[in-house]
Amino acid sequence: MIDYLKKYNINDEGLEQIRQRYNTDYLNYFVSLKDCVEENLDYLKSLGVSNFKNVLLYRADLCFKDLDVLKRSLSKYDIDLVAKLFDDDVEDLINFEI
Amino acid sequence: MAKGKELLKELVDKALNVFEQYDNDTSVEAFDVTSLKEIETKLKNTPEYQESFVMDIKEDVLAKLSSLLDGDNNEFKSSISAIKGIIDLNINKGLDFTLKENQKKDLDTLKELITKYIVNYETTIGSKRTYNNKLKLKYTILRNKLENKKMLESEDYETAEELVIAFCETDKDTALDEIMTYLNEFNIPLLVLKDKQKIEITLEETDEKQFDPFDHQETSVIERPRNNKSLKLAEKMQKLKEIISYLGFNFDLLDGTLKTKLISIKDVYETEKFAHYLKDKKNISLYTNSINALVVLLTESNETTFNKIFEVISGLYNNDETLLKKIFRNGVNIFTIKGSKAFNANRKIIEEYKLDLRTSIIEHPTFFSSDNKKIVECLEKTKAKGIRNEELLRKCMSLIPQDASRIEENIAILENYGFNIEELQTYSILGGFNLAQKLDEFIELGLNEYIHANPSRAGIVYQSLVIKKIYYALKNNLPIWRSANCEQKLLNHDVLNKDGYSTTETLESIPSDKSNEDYNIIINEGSNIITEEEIKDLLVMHLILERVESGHRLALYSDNNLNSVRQKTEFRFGNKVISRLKTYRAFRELINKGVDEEEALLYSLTYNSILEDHEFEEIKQSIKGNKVGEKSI
Repeated sequence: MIDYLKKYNINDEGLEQIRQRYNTDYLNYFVSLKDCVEENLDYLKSLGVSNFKNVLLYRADLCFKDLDVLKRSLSKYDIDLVAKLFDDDVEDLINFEI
Repeated sequence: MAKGKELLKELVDKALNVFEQYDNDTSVEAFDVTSLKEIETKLKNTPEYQESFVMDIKEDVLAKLSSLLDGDNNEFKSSISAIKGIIDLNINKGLDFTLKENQKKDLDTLKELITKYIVNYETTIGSKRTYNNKLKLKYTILRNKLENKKMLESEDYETAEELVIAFCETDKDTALDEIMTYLNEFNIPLLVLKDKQKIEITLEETDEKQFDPFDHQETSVIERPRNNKSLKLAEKMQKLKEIISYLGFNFDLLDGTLKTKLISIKDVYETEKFAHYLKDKKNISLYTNSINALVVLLTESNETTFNKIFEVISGLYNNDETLLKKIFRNGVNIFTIKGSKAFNANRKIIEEYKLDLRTSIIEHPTFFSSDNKKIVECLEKTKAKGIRNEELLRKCMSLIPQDASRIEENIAILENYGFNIEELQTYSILGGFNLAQKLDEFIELGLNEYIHANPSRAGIVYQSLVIKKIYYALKNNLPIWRSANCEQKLLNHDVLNKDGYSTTETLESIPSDKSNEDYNIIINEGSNIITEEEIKDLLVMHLILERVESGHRLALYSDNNLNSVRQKTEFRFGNKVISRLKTYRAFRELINKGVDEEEALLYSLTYNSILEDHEFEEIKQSIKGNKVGEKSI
């Protein structure tokens, strides 16, 4: 169901953590909105983000956002800061209104 | 024929192995349920067992029971562990005890969870085991008949077909053909023999009528399954392929999840009509080319539901194709039967709080297809705490459906740390993680005064400190939070600045004899909240705590807000500030796991703290402990 996330360096253990973290309805978004999830994660990858497990565990809602909305909210910040936040402190993105 | 025979044997073996494995995997649950049933029975019949039953709940079973609760269950688990500690201690000392109302309430919840667990087991695993046993019996009967050359009945053909559908991983149609051919060739001689025996008896009785073994009712047994179920399956698969092809995709190339969803469709002809409606009447390809979105529509929606929501959405966005594309890309779930109900209920929330519906749907699409009940419950709780929900929705809308319990927990944490919730001017911090650990870090850096100088701005100041700390970490290539490492650190520092860092800092890991990964895990798994009531209980039960509570807590000389926050959240060891709430949270968890009092206290005081050697020694001396470093639990 969410095996396609492996291409974002999520191993089996990571996939299991994601399955444990969310209820069935929420996990289903990863299927129904697969194209959107891939586009958003690819965009983050292009910014230099590499810790996708934390994004998926802490802020999966960002994967389901409109790409333009996501781009707009990130464009306010320096690209290095964005990459640092996503990789090291995704839990505080909300304090940046992201 | 040989191929069909081998294939069928392979499938029977495979199926029986799967059931065997399932029985092994679920035997632990079966054992747990047996134990829980015994507890439940004893609870019904033994009045004096109403509280002590908790001692019979093992930790692993408690974890399984707690997982049935919605949201974060760490607080509940901690409470139950604490109750066990109280009961254990009092029973050992032969003392009478009375549990508090909230503890009694938690025990009642635990009793409800026991019943729920048993019911869940019986309706899921238990009934599945029963169902599996029936299947195992069918498959074993088929295998025995084939091995002993016994005539097959129509049920055996159906069993063979079920095996192909469920366990064959290659081309099911070809496999079914080969197996049916084998079964027919196997069964014909046995049928002829049976009919000959029958006709002999009949001839003896009536002495008339010629026998044609193939012009007989039983012959239809051979053909019936192939003309019934297998044909239906083949027709269904063919129809699904046509539908998907009609929408511009190749069924055979879809991933397993989508195929499974499609195969589960009950009325494929209705789906075909719906697919034509989507393509011909609604021009769906204008809005989405995602096969995943289309499969969701085909399997979870219908013409009426889709049309109703489509009318609402296209009206809302004035048929703007670009915006409608966005909705289908991020929010296709609102067009499903379940999602449309949620959409209608959740849009009322947005309207009630006078937020912009158009923007909200585009920016937070999953909010609209999420469980309305959970959202409403969350908003009722936050409103009761004095939160302005329209502002909370602006900041945390997409987090509420999945993380309502964290938002509620963060409110409790802020209250715990002396923030005035009604005066809170920023709600973004309610959506963050590890709030308590971050507040501890700021407290221990001596920033309480800075944060709480103006109570109405405390939230905003905390948020700005977080942002500054992140910028500072980025600029100086430092880790952002100590607590994220779940490790104690030593730090030599001169003067603290308002970035939450010292001006000259040298990070050094605490010597391994002072850090204990097991303890860190125990502490991290515990609840992030500790009430003054719980602290009072700890003080009564563990007199050692008085050494810090009376000797290192600020005296309250005036009732101004800052003093009261400091008294609530700080211990002072000379110039060093240690978070009081961190200490008691960590102590509670370690004590519940049986760690020695003195060691637990020293570890809790220094947990995640940045200390110079003399500060560490001062803390150590103040509780007169010399057992630091012992790692036994």
